[in-house]
Amino acid sequence: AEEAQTLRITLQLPLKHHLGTNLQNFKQEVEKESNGNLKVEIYPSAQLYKDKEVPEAVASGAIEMGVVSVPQFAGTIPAIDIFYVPFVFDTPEKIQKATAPGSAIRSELDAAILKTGTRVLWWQAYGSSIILTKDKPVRLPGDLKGMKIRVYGKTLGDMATTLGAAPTMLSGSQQFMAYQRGTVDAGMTGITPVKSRKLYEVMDNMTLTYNADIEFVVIINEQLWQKLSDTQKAIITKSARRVEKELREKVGQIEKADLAFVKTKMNVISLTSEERSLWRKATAPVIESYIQRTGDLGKKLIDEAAKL
Amino acid sequence: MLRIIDSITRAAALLAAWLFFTIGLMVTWEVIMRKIFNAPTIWADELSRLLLVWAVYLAAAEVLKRRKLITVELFEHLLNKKAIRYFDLLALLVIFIFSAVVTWYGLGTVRDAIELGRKTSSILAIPKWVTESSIPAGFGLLAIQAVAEGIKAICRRKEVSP
Amino acid sequence: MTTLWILLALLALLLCRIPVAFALGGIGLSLLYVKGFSLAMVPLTLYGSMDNFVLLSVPLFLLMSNILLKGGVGKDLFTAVQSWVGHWPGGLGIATIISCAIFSAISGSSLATAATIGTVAISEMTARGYSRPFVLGLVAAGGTLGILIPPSIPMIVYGVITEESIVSLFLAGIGPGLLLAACFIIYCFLYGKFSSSYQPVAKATPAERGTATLKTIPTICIAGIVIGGIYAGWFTPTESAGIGFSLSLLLVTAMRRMSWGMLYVAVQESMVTTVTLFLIVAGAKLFGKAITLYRIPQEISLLITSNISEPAMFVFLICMVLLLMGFFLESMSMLLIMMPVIYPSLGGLGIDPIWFAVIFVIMIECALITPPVGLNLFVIQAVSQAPLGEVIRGVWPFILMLAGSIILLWFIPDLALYIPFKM
Ligand code: NA
Ligand code: NA
Repeated sequence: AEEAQTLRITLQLPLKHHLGTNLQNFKQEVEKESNGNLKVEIYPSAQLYKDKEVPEAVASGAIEMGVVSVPQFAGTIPAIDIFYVPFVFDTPEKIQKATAPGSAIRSELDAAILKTGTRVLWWQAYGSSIILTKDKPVRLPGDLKGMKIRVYGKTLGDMATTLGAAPTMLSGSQQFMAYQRGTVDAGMTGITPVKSRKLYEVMDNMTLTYNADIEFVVIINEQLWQKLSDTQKAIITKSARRVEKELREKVGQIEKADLAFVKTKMNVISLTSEERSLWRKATAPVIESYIQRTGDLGKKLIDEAAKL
Repeated sequence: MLRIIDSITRAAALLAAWLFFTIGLMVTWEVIMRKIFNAPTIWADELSRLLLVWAVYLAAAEVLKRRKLITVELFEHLLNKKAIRYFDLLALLVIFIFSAVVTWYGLGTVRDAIELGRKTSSILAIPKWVTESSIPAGFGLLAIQAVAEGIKAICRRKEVSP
Repeated sequence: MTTLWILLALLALLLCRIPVAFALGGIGLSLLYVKGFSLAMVPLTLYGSMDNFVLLSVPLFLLMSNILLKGGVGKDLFTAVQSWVGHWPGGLGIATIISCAIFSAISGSSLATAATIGTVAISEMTARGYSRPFVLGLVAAGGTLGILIPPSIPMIVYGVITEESIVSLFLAGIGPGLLLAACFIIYCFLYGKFSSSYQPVAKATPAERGTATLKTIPTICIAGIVIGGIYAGWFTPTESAGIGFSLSLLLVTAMRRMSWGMLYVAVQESMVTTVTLFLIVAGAKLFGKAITLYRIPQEISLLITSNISEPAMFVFLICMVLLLMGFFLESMSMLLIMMPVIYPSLGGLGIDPIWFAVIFVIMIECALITPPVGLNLFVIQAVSQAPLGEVIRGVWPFILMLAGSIILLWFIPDLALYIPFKM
């Protein structure tokens, strides 16, 4: 008989967040298919590990599995920041193709992550990045000039600097107060947090830049993976595929619903395709510096992205 | 030997104390750059956190040496000196075992960090061994100091008791 | 059942005088080992518990208040306040409380507040014939304002554990802090009206008031910048701590009250306090993770939410538990042990976590002044050389007032929530 195995998963978001329900679906299917031979325990709300600690915790075997935002690997794999390089994936279709299992971009990145001692089981869609501002609406790239803006990653910071804004790193939970008290004038965030964190109460404008794509990956310790039986691996892989597809479809709907809600609360600005190309032109140096910084892999990823 | 350990511990704590001071200056610098020059630094946040971890763990041994660790002193007035000394030795033993285990596994994470070339995911991309070696360094020193304190306590008892 | 064993083990270690940090950390480590979890988790957790920008504010606030203290601002402050209110009935007592409240705005710790004001105020008051238990109780309780009026180290730690905004937490403490200060002042006033044993102080001349006040203006400005800056959004709490530290350094240097020797002592003392506190934070983090892997907080939270549907009942029970813990435990440990366990229940019961933080901090204030283990009692005892019994006799009216403030907060939550969310 095969050895029973408990898979503990650390998650930084609450269980009722869509990434959490996605994990619960995975848990249900895996436990059912394996007749309880595989047991899944979810530890939500960063009870065990903060986002930045997850890659190392899983790689060292301190915990079996974890959910982590993709750019947390950027220290070890600089090219992974491709998802934050401005306007590379600025439509749902491009995101869909880039993150599809077996796509060129994803295969490269999954392989790179595997070298750090963790295997990617599936990608979790979180949503697209937008820009919030308080008094001054932002439509053109020049509008950000001189603003203090909250960012959540290095390459997003580069983008802000390139546009003449001053980036400040703030965690998700610090956002509300920083906006309310005016510590920053603008902020980059996803669409869904605008509703869940009630950011619409303290900000007036939302520009749908879709300048970046926020992705999470579910990873498993590679040594443990190799110890699993083929049946166990097959059950996990199959469930992972199913819940991945489910979530990607669902996120589109959630964003649409949230956006409809936000529109009743704040001034939402969509960009025309001319405006979008202005943004692209203004942020082109960020792509240059990304390629310089990340070498062959970065260049390859940018080329692949252009084909989408 | 004991004197050498004590002076290393003391030097580490002195460094730590001024690291806290330096952190204060770094944070101030960051505010000035952002508020007045609208040019936030990219290093202040991360570097100050790095120094914090190092400072706290480097100074742990000295805090033990000075017996400043917080204990629950509930029955202290009921115990005689001898009993207190035994409890003290027990505490040192617990501290030693804990620190030794942490040091051992801490060295493991540092080794992994070097082998895999791990770096922080932030703007500075600092190699993780630079940050994570604070754990084996601090707890290694703490383990050694616990032994030193234990020897001191035993010797002192011999001096007093005959 | 496991929960009970863990609790007993912790209690046993603490009673054997194992330092709190290592009692928590040791049990955490053993729990992980027993169930075969990878111990690679231990160094990662110890590292992660300190790698935190919010926590950084603790040493900076400590440096700020230590530097100001070495510069003698405690005495200045008391003299100035006394020159204004000293001649009122119970005037010295009122001056003590007001000084505590002002000092609270530059200090995040109640011990520092009690010690600072205590050093000056106790001898002044006893010399004027105030009864000793009244004086000692007053300073011990006045010191506890230090953690309710921002900045506040327990609030910072609460924010780190629960990921709630430090700004909201700080701002929520202001209203209840001032309310308690007002209660204490009224108590002093009544004491002054009905006690005949003390001699009132002569009214200060305008000139005396002027000089005394002038000396304290820079300190009050620093306090104003620290709290005002957070409120106005000029900077985050950690940054305000950094600014407060630098300004204090400038101030005492400009006043020519700082020597290298004094700075050295201030820096050393801040280091020791920080490290003792942070080792407990790290140990508690390890303990917290271990019990999470044993699913203890989850089960307790489930137990609470399935058995208690009344928020009032929940708050009452928690307060009783905290009161009990507070008799014996050091305050930071209460926060670090309890909060991870009860935080998950708050949402289900619809209790505002910011409001709850204020309740928790008031319970910590109680713990600081309830015997047998109350750190403020010890500090006052050390400063005054009085028998502990005398301190304890003076402190119980203040415990009642703290309890009263909790009841008031239950009925008028806006006492805490108005400033952060509606202003
Ligand atoms: Na305070
Ligand atoms: Na107590």
